[in-house]
Amino acid sequence: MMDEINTIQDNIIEEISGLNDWIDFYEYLIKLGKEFKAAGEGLKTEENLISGCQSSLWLDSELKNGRVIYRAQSDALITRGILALILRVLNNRRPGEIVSSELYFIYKTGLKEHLSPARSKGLSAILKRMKEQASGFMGTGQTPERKKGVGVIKERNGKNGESQ
Amino acid sequence: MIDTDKIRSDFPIFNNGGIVYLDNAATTQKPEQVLTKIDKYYRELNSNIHRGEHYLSRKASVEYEESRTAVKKFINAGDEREVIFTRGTTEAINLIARCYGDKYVNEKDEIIISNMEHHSNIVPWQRLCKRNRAVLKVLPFNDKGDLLIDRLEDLITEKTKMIALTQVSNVLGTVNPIKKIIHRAHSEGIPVLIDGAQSIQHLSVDVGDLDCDFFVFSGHKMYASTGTGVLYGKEKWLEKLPPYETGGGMVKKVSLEKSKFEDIPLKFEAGTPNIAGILSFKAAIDYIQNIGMKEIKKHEEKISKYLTQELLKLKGVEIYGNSDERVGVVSFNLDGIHPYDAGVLLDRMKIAVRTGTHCAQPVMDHYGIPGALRASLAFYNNEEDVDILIEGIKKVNRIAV
Repeated sequence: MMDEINTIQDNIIEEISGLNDWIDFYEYLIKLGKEFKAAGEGLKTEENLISGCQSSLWLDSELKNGRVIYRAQSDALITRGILALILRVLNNRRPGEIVSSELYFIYKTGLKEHLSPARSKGLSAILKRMKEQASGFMGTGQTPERKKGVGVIKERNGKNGESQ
Repeated sequence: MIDTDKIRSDFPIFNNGGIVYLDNAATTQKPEQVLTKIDKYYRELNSNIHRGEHYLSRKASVEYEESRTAVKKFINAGDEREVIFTRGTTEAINLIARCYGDKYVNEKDEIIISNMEHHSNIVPWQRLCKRNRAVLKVLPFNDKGDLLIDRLEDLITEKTKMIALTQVSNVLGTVNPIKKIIHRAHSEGIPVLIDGAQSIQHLSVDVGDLDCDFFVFSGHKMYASTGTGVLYGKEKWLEKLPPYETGGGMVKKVSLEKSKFEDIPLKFEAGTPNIAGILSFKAAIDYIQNIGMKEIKKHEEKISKYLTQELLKLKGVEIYGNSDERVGVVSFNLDGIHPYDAGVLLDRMKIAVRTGTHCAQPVMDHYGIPGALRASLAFYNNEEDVDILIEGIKKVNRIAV
């Protein structure tokens, strides 16, 4: 299954390397951003907000049939385009796969610029939180019931007692 | 007349070419004279100040104090003793919020700030109010970007212990009528702190004429090194305030039971300061004065006017703040484009503007926007910079809409 994550990453790298210049690259991201589906109700809460100085990101997740379903959104188009790529790689995977995944496609494309410290409150923070949420689902991997990612993180922080 | 080509040749960063730098409100570039001063200190003068009696230390101490004198003259302070070197504007405000606040601000007392302050002139007062159970009151501004001065009458009470206000807004560029406000505050015996971080590089500042109790600014926004700032305070206040940090350099006599503090200004300069940076302060002031504050103001006004005029020619540009008295910065958004997207694309075109909330989230809240783009000027900017920015914005419009 890990192969699938890497295959998609390789596909993305290939797609991006086929672009001519930075304008094409950002047009590609912006197009993805525009196509990115609007998030359903209840995503844009204070708890789900990953706030940077630059643009705002919201993220939550749930476990469905042993797989992590992420929901994400941003108010900026480029950020939304990047989210679309990340979700293409990580969405609907088993928690263990997500936790052990190496997202090398970010470093092999122009996306790494969006990991710079000034912008780190956005993209790096979202990657960190996605892995944390997936990690929170580990051990509950086979349970079919829906479980909210945010709640699990709270458990890990000890706020909800020792339910692990 | 300012010759920007000639000035730019003094700034090594522009020698590499290609960059359009319009983020001067964040920090300005450094001229050769400032860089040389820093370099020379470490190569030829490196030693600690106000401590050793050896040659290097004496010479460095003399130069350090020459910087203080240069600052004193630059802002027309009454005495060198009124000039405290800090790490920057932020530390200077924190120092006053701590030292003045803890001595004079008690439960239910009130502090007045405005709604257009940089976070640095909000958060220290918030913290003070929380510590001492005081109340923070806020003077609003209108859409034009002007403070609603009349509201001051409702805010000032016998409980008001401080008014802390920016001279120039880092987002709107508004030059606030601080002299009038200081006069009004003093008629009630209320001290005033002026945040000069965005005014010192654009306007002639005369603290004697303003009669403010405290005036703070940063060196790095006026062509000197980062990690340098000034707290100007009236002698009568600085004498009364307790020290901020304690340690070496600020004590006359220490026993294990008690310590006797130095007089001002050293009382507020604990530890080894950023000596190289402070020395560069004088180099920066000399550089500015060589061009002349009047010339600088005239030139920057011309470029600012041109920038505003060219921006308004574009479709869908909204500019925030349109006060009659403005300097330095123009903040704006492009219709239908998130400022982050615009900023990323302009960055790819080697145009450095700032995007985001500019450490002034209440200003963003006032206009109901997630952030803005900001072009901020210095004396080395010219019409060509503006033209390149405008072309860049047109390109952004093509890519992102």
